[in-house]
Amino acid sequence: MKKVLSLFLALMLAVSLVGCGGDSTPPADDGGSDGGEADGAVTIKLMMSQTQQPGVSAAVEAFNKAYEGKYVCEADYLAFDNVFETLEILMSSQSSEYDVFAADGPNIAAYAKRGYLAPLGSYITEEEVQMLTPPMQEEAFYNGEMYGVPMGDSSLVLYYNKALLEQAGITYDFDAITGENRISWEELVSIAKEAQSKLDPDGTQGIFGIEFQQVGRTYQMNVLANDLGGANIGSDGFTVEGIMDGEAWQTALKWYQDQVNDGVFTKGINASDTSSYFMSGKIIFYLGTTAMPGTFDSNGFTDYGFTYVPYFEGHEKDVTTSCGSWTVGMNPYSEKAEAAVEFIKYLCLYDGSDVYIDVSGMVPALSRQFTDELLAAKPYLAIAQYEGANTALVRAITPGFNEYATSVNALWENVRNGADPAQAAADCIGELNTAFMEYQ
Amino acid sequence: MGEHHEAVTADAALIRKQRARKRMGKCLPYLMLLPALGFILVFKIYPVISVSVESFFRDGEFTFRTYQILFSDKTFWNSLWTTLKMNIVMIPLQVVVSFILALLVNNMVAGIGVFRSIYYLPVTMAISVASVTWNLMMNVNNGVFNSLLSLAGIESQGFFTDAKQALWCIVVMATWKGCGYWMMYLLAGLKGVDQSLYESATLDGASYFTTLRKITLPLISRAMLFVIVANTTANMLLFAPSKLITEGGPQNSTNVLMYEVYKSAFRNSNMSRAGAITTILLVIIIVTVVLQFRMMNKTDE
Repeated sequence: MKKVLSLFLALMLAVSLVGCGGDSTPPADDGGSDGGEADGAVTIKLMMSQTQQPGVSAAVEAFNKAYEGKYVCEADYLAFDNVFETLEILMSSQSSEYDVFAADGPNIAAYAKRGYLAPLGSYITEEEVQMLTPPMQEEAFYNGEMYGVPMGDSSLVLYYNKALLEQAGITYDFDAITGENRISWEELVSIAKEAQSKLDPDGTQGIFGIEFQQVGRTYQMNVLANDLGGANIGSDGFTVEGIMDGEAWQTALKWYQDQVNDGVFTKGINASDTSSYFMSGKIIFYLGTTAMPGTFDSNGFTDYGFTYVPYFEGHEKDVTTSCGSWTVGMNPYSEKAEAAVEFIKYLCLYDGSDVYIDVSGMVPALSRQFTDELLAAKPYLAIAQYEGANTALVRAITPGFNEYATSVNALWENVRNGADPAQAAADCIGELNTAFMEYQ
Repeated sequence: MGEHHEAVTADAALIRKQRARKRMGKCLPYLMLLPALGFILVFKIYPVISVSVESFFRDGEFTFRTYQILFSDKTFWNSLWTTLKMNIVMIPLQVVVSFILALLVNNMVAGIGVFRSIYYLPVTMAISVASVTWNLMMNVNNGVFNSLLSLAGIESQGFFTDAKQALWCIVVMATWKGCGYWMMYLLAGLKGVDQSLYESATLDGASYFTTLRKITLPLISRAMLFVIVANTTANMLLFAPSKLITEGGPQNSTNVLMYEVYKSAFRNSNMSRAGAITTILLVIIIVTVVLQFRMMNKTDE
């Protein structure tokens, strides 16, 4: 009896610990608000990524002032990684905690398919859709229906550390680079190596040649394969065979691995740390979004230049840049649809958008916002404007984007850490084929 | 006659009282356990059963489709093998190291409390903090481990970026973090052993290892059983380092089953798959625990 009892208690312990394993991230602090009406004003709740807090909080403040007595917006800002998980947890249980929330552009299809986003077609007019730049219109739609309104866009710019290049005696004229006359990846690597050999001849200073801001993430890394003519995914949103194991991807993966092995690109540094490395003079060339100058300025780093992203020799016409950003969507379970839509329009299409773009440094998603005044204040946005019109490529549009991003991120990271590109691509394809079975 | 009857009645009442007290005495421990068991049932057992049930449903219909997809998924099998491989090494390693530490700190010498505290300190650190710290120490570019290796003339190691080393780095980190905890249970077991037994054994000329094998281990078998069972369940569920340091990589080399559950549930919103893997993990843990019980009971006999 004693043995049976002790076995039972041990099994209870095992089972209860498995129960512990499933603990989820708690939902964001709601600030004690009931989200109801206070002083006659309808309160709506917004969940937003912390990365967008400066711009969005300024716009929210403006909204609350403009709609005083009618609507109040309360915003919670979550760490970048937690946004996705919190959204999955809340929306899979059909929570009405947030009326509006940030939905990363490439996730629109997945969220729409899972019923996390309310269709906005009946609220947003055709004229309002046309206010968006063409790539942003593409990102906002899934199966012909609009599910999110982009707050802004993003682009890729090549930044360089002027002091390091000067110290290395590099005299390349980066100002002469234009959208039609870019530097090639091959030449950039050559310059980076030359600078490294002078700045850090014995490798003890840990100075790297080039790095992507979002290293190991599909958003920027796929540009290498895209630059060689490779697609992100098949047109059906599910086909990956013939893509990652195709010539363009394999050449890009091999090229990247060679550069990592040569110490041109970094190893063992994650995306959240790359900007610190660039600002502290440990990376010479840095491919980042147009939001980076804000980070540089706030950290007192001013000795940098910027230009257009490179192309691969023989693939001048294939050059692509990453784009897309956060959209704002409406919770289908929200009981304050009217207020929610009013807020979305204010933040993404009208006055709030101007505040957001002004404060955030993001690329405008509205054509009207590319004014001479803006471009004079933020000259790197002229590059973004050119890229948006000529080279911008939206990320893979698939209902399985989360799975896609997880596997493709791992593909780039595995190749970076020495995996055979062909085998790594085969593993990635296998994972994605299995993952996509859930959607087919 | 009347007095005798009264005495008999009083005796019967006393016996009844004693029986009732005895019954109460038997029931009392279970009554005391009831609130805790209630909470465990509601907040632990029920969710596990619910998750297992969910794994058999897709779009509201009962189906084995999730398991079909799962069993044809190479990632799942790799993850299962990674989990087993890690635990086959880590569980015995942690138990042995904890036991050695417990034996060491069981010695009554001046300042032994300081050593106990030092060995226990890693337990007080959150696993997330420990993961970040070890990731910094084992950084391929400027980690302290590689600095020490370069001083010794050994070339820089990849550690968490090397597919052949990453899993074992996690094992080392988890052992460092966990052993102090298990050490305390074993130390409590050791403190319960009657010292006169050791004195008798010494007088009989028994060696240290004979004493360890014939006296110490049998007498701390209950504490040892708890440590083995609890260590197994805790380590089978360990996934924080995989999430925070390696994200299951490089090349899925640290992609343990619990991390697959996490990804399925909270990244890909695939509760059915998460439920299926949790169920499989639960079966593995139960089978392992039952086997451990049987083996320990055999040893006892």
